Amino acid sequence: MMHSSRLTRRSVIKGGLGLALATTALTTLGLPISARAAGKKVIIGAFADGGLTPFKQKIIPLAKEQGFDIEFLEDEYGVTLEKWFADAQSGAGQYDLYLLDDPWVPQFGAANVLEDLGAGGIDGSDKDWIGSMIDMGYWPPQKGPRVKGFESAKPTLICVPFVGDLQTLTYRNDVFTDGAPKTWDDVIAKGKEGVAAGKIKYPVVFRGVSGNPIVTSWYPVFLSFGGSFFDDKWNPIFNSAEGKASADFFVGTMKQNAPNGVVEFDSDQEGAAILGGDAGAIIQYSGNALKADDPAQTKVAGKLDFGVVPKQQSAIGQMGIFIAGVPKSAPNKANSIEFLKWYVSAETQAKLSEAGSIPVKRSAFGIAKPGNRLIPVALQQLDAGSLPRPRTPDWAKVEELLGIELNKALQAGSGGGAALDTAAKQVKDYLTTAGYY
Amino acid sequence: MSTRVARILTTIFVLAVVLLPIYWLVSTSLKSNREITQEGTLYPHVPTFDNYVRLFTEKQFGSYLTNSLVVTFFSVAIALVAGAMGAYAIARFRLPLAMEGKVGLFLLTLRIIPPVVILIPVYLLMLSLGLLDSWLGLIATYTAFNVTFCVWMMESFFREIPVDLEEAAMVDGDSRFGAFRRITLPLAAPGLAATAIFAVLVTFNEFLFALALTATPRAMTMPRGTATLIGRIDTDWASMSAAGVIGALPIVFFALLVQRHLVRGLTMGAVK
Repeated sequence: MMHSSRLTRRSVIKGGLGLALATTALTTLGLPISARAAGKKVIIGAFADGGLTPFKQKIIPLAKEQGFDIEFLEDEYGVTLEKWFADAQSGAGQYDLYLLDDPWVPQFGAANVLEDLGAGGIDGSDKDWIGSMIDMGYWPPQKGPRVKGFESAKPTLICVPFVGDLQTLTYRNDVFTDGAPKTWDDVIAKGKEGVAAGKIKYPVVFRGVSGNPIVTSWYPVFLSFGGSFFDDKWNPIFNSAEGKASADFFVGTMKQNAPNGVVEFDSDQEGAAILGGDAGAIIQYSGNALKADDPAQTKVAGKLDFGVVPKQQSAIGQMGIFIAGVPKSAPNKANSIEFLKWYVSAETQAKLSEAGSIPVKRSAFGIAKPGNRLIPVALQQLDAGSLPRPRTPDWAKVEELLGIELNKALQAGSGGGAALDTAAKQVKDYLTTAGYY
Repeated sequence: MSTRVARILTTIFVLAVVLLPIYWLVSTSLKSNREITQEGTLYPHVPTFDNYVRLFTEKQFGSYLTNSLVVTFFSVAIALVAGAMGAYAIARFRLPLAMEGKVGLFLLTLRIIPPVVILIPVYLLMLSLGLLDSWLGLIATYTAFNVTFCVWMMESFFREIPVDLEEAAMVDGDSRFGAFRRITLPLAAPGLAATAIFAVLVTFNEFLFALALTATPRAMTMPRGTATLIGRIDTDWASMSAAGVIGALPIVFFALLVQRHLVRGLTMGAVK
């Protein structure tokens, strides 16, 4: 008898039912054990970032030992803001804790969708906090200009710093043999010597893609040249003489000493250039820096060192911390606040530092054996200067407008100052429409 | 150059164009992230299956794949059943005058509305029904999309089948539904298969609604889960490539399963 391969209705239905049963069983078996375990459940939402690796690998197991049942849900950076904001505004209650990027705090604060963590028992006045980091958890801000509608509101602690990420310098110690370059001129001059000696291909590398990437790369240059973003009335002043000088340096000198195609570089290409041994120096957050000693992640393990951001007038980098907020709709609110109290305790912060992540309490920077060479440098950078982005719910739009103009100037290889003038006008028009003046 | 040589060269060129992306995907899935981003090699110098292992041990890819299979199976199955009956009704029964000849176009219009237009209403609906981050929410959403497509596509297949066959069955004592089930539906099987494969392709690869309606590995589908591998600073290209390879397998398997019917389906009905 011949076997027929004909697809019959019966075989499709049988196969489908079998598949459904099998997949249901697989799903049940495949569920993370934590999701079914008893304990103090806390659902943490985070965007995917290498800076959270030590937390995932070392701190979550510690939390489980403390009885917390952690469900850690990672998502892509580009969608998390909209996703979580929709979750918080609609009261969907899918998360207990958001690990926000700090510029998002004003948006959540203005929408009044996060819990008052001070009322929950977290002490924002503890002197052990890194002051500039805990300040970012308040809405409206305790210092600096406030947006309309919040001029007289009492600052409330709606977020607590979670990982103290900030920009520092990573450089090649076989090119900059006297230690970290102190100025931007040093970066370029010594870098060129490294290129001539065949050690590297480019003195510097950065991100040139329009929007957040290019603004993030330009920002430390801007700050180090002495630029300020807004005055205390939210008028754009980033196109000051200092700002323009920084932009001209960025789109001119820095581009000339960076890889071809840097206009289209984002973090992947930037990371590959420094970890692959092509570039001499880079300003970066901790995600890629944490890979500097791992031969599986870099071709130049042992040749990368860390330092404070180079200066022109001063040595200031951008601060961009992970910061935790508890949505009012959190299904396990009490657990998440209890978890945060445990997490920001000096003892747990010391463990975080041992695990290789940048802590948010000053005492944890001073432990005997920090898990990463970046941690003491991060403290040096904090003391030298590290500034957050302006505390406005409209920062994303400002960054987009500025990023487009900077990217155009970078493509041209000149005209950074003029780009800032154009962007300043656009930002002013946008904020006028948004009712800032 | 002889015609034969030109034909061979053309074949090689076309095969290269078609196969290169597949080669690149499979090859990348066998490299380390360092080799992908820092070395840009043409083939894996140190082939590794770690990326596949990591997907299932660290990235919960098994859940994403399971969710995709379950959601796709049920939404397409329900849509096919409802769609076949709807299409049959449109093909066989007289409709009120104003609707005659317009239902198919109306359904097609529903299907081609940019999904983003109705994304927020659907999100709010699922929120109010408590169906966010659930299989049921996704199945309901995809079924709604698929059923319009199925009706539109199946209608022309049913029109191709002579009504005399059903009438003969009914003269012999069968009911209308019995004639539909025993006579018309089997004859429309190739069309059903063609419709199913298109619906499966669209559903299995859908991203936008999965993005909005799911938040955890409990319900995230394969395309949605794969997106979680994109980081702020670094992207896990190796795991994403491995995910691409695994994600393609069910579709390839399904296409092989129904290809004979698909070929027959494409030679009848709407695309004849």
